[in-house]
Amino acid sequence: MKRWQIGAALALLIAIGMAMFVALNREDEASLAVPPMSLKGTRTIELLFPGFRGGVARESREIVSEDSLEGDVRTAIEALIAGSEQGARPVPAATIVRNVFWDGEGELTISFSEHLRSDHPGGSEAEFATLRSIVGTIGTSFPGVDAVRILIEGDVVSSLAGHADLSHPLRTADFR
Amino acid sequence: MTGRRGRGVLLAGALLLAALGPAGALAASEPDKLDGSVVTPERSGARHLDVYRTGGVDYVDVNEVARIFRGTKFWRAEIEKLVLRFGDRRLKLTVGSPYVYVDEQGTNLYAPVRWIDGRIFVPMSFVTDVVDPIVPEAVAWDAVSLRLRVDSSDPNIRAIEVSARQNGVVAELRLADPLAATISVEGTRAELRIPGGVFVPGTRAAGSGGTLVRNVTTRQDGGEAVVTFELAVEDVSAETMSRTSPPRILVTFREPGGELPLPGYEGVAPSMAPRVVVVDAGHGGSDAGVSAGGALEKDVTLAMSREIARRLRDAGFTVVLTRDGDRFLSGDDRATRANTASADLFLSVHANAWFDDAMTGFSIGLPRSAGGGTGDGTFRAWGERAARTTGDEDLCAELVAESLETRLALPNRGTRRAEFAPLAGTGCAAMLLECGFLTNPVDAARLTSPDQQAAFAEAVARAIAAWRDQLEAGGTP
Repeated sequence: MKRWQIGAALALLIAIGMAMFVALNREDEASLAVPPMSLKGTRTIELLFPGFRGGVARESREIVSEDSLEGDVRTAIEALIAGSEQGARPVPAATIVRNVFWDGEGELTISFSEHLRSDHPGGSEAEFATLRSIVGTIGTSFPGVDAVRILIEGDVVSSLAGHADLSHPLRTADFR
Repeated sequence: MTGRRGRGVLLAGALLLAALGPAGALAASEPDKLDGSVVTPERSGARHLDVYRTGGVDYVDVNEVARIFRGTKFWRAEIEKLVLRFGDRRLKLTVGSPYVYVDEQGTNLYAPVRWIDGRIFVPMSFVTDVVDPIVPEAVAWDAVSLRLRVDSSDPNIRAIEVSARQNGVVAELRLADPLAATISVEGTRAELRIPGGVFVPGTRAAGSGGTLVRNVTTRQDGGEAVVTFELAVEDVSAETMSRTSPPRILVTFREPGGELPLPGYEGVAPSMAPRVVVVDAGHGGSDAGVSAGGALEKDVTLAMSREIARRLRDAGFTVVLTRDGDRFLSGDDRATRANTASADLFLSVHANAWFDDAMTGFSIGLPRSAGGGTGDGTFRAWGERAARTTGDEDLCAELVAESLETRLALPNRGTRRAEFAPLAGTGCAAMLLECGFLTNPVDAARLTSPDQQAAFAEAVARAIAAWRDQLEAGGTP
């Protein structure tokens, strides 16, 4: 083998080595895009229910974590649907959580069954109380969530009962 | 031989370059996490700021940038693009790319946007070179002390009203403090520059520019507020003057060959007193609203709205009902009624509900942003009535609540600002009035009784008339 051929082969090897190093580094960097979130085990969440004369009543619950944000949010919402110890039911009893999606960047999307809208008593006070319970519970118990988008049967809706604007995500900071 | 050796070296070099590329070079070096600070002279103390330094470039979390300058951000994870909005300016960033687009204009940051610790970081040059010129605050970055200095400016331009006159157009800018302005005309475009001017978020141009002024847009250009007037013809003469009591800037546009001063203009601002009220009977048609004890919200709101409308007309207002029968209207339909009527006040009448029968009383809802708009700071299409200030809305709500409490001794459940869907899109002062709870037997009896509807309507109409009188007398906060 000629000297130049040896030199070229050596340079090629170095280049391949560096390319692999960079590729590995890129892998590391990409993995940082999704913050590690291990929720496994039992954890305490705080549920927000409508309280006396429009106030907020907070109740703590121990839940068995599903090891995913989506799973734990679903558990929390189903606890809201079941009602408070005082019998407050801010979310109509027949409501089903169809899907929960976490975008990894602060926004959570929850798709509910039509019951959330059709069985709701209406009125801005009750409507905002329902949203405060859902969004406030998520904002309190899952601090990484900045905004909650509420869908009905997978569709964006303008409102739940005609008063609160649901055409865009609701900021959790507004409902804590 | 030499040629073959050269090819080999070139090949190796090309492979090296491909491997090291700009992203590779950045990825290879681990950024240093440094403790920086944000200093706002108007507030005491400094706030901590995470700064990452890599390759001599300082990076800051884009969430911090949005928070400091009150921007909104939209993220599309699948294509790793982020959109930041400051007022009506739109900034597009892509992770891994040094290019940022301000509206559609590209700028090179000379360092890519990066993921660091699961967050998006931007080079500090993004803050100093891209954000600084489009926000009202003045920004300075000291790379030695790692201090980001932000000199805040409070919004001081509250409203813009344009009115057509006999031989021209007058535009009035209502201010919090006296400010000077300069105007320049080039072709069919006039630009008013106000050093130190900062628009109140949601401020929109109001009124009509007649046939001379086709459109009005605004933008923040660093420490200057800029209002651009699109003119129908060339050779329009423009003058500007400042007034101190109340603080305002007046701009006059004269048609080619016309004469100044405009009739009736001499130092007199267009009247800002409310004249037009759009009364919106909530729900309707297939949307019955609350249904309780045999009563439907859509019927109660229609009866109440008719009563309020009649009394407002008696008080001298021009009144438009969004519906005068049982029919469905979308939110857009209602907002369109208000905007095409050049409403000064949009009053949406509702009846409330609760999960049981305990709750009683009236409440008032106001839009989160002034004028019931989208809150994104953009201007509406020409011909729509602009926003009044949040102060106007607060005053109106206060007077209505006070009137209902003192005249009818009704429990007041309070006033709050929120994203109320029935108020969205209206370009004027807007208010959602929940008259009482149909789920409460006492309230329901009051809401469905014609006599008590009339008494309620009287109290509301008197309050709105008092609001008009206070604004007319210059009582705007």
